[in-house]
Amino acid sequence: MTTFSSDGHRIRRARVDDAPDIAALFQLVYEASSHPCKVSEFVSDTLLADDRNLWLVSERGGELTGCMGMLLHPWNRSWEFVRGLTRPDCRGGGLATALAQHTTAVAWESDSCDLVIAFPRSRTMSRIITDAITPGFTVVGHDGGINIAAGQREYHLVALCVGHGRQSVDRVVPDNNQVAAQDFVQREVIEPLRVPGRAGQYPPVLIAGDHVRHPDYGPFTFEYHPFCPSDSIEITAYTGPKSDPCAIANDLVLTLESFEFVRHVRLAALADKTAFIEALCADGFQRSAYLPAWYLENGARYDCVLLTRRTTAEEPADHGTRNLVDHFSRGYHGRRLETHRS
Amino acid sequence: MIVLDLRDCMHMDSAGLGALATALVKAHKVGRQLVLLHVSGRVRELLRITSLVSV
Repeated sequence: MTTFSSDGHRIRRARVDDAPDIAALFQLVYEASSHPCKVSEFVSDTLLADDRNLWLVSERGGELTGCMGMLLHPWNRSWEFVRGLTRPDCRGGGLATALAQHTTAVAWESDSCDLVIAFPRSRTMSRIITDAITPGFTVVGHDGGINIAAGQREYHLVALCVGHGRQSVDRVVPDNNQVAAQDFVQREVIEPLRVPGRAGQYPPVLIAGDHVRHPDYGPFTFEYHPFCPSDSIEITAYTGPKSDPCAIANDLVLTLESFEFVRHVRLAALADKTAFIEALCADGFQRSAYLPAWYLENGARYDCVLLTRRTTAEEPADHGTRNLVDHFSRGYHGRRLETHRS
Repeated sequence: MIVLDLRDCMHMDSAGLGALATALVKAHKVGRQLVLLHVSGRVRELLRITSLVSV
């Protein structure tokens, strides 16, 4: 693999034998906070030995100075920035930017990349991926506060980059759809992303997500880890027989009541399913992000709306992203009010 | 130890899985183990799919 240097740093693909040094780097940065990557075996077994993971490291003078990792989601041919850090004494010289630039470049060069998604937790990281790397990301919303870091729930932004891979992206725009046509979505998401689309019919699928298909599993499939500190659940599909969107939304809310310890719910609804989205918003969900081309079916890609619901009074922390979080919350909420008036 | 006998449970939907996950967390919070007895093959497969069986 080609190597690059930034301020004397050499960037290369991580090897399994880098695991102890990567773990040591996480130990140095996270100190008393818990983080799975502080354990060398976790890094080597879960990350480096798994070919869905792409990890790059930087080194200088024989010592690791930073790392960045992406995870492939084959179900929708997306890559996600999952982890990244630089050694504190190596910050401020463009190392994080170089790592981000090179990691995304490797992802785009792969045969399996139609879009890249990132969840920057700070304004600094947001600026790096939107302004300092090429092609730049577009911030499309926030995650409603899924993650817990150092015992504190915090907002992460949602940022996308679409259509710079080897294959062209066939994006279908929902026909006569008020959400997609909303000025805010057009101005803040569609135009900056510069992803073309053609009007067309959407499939009957309600919820987009990576899920195991099994006749006994449903009517809602989910991703939930009972002992994860975030107490969050992702609804990944509806597999039941109903077709009334309000009835399905009601069933979902009832199902969620059985997950007593869940504090954060998220799901990506296909953008044309406005009645379903409205019904969930009436039950406490909010539109957190608009995700163009997120759902993939038979080679075509369909827009989705990220819906989130947080059931805790605790207001998540932000790391300089509050203005953007509020901006998108207000912008997407405006659509709901307009719809109610019409 | 908390023992849950699933002898008559032939099927479990999402809400049932949620109730089971909740019971698991509650047991853990009070320092108890949750033990499932007589789990049918169908339910066992669901627990495997949802990764609840490994916790």
